[in-house]
Amino acid sequence: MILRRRFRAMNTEVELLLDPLPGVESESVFVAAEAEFHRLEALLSRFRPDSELSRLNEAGELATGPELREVVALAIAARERTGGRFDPTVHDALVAAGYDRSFERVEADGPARPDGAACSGAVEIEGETIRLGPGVRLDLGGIGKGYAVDRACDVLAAAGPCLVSAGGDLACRGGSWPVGVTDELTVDLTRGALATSGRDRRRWRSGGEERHHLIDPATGRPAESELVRATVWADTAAEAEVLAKAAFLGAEVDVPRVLVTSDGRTLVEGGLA
Amino acid sequence: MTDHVARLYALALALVVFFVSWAAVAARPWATAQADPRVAALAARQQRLQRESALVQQIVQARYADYRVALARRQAQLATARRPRSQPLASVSTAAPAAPVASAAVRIVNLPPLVITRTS
Repeated sequence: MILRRRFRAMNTEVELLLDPLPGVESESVFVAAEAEFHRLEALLSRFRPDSELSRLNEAGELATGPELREVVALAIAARERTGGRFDPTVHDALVAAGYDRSFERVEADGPARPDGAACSGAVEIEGETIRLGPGVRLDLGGIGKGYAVDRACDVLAAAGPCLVSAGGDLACRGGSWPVGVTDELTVDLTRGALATSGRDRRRWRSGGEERHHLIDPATGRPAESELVRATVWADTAAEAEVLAKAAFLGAEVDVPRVLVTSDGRTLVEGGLA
Repeated sequence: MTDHVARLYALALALVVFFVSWAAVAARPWATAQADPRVAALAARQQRLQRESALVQQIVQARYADYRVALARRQAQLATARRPRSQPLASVSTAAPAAPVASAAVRIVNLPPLVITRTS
């Protein structure tokens, strides 16, 4: 029997599914997996002034714990791999676009404001210290959520086949999990992770103009794309999150993917059948 | 009742009293009041081992995280070194395996979904 646990973290609904092994105390692993989410949110949120990330953004240079360094290293590697389509230094561009507070507090129809901000800033990791270039601030919202999904999955996996879903990002360990990608399309996930990026949620209006949270680092403004959303498979949720964002911005990623276009077409690509 | 029968009853009663007393003494009810020092030592050892294992687990997790940082940095360096200067921006190398391997992990089915993925 599949057991479920739902809670809210990282400003999204999180769902844990577990097919427990015989004799496993499922409640304790659910509690541990949920605690992992809250712990990582306290480290990686840009909306919490006391988070390690906020302190780094404030100081520009900080000796950090290993997990923030790991997520930042993953983000830098992703920026390299995606030719800059994924970029953790979009913080100021997001703020300029109006996403300057936790999303439920962003004005649905706010006043006009000048948007666009430089991205591709310098980020260095040296020993235990992360150093940001002048004026550079990091947003690890998406990749941080993917990382948390992966870590929570590691915790749950000790108790049996499991799946962790946080909004668009989900990952499984063992088992077979039917996942709805669109209203008409379901895929069976037996390994790895899926992530969805798009402009059909987390959007608002600023001065009458529609904005969304997916920044194109090339312009520093909300991306203009023919896609409404992109769902991508990868080995880990953090990687899938990166590739979904890159796919939304027009990169051809060589993995199974589902793209939904503005004119309502659903494209199934990358060997997915 | 004759003296003979009375003596038999007295003997039986004496035997019952004797065995009940023997059982009570053999049970050593006074001994339970004292904790066995070996049990106390084992409990202390168990607590110490639990503390040590938690500490070791923290150290292992920290070292594993350090290793993953180093690995991610190394992968980034390799990706930079391997990327041809003329690489078109539309193509993105992935850490994930090639599509045929990946497609074994995910396939389209005609089943009701257990969960849904939506824009995050």
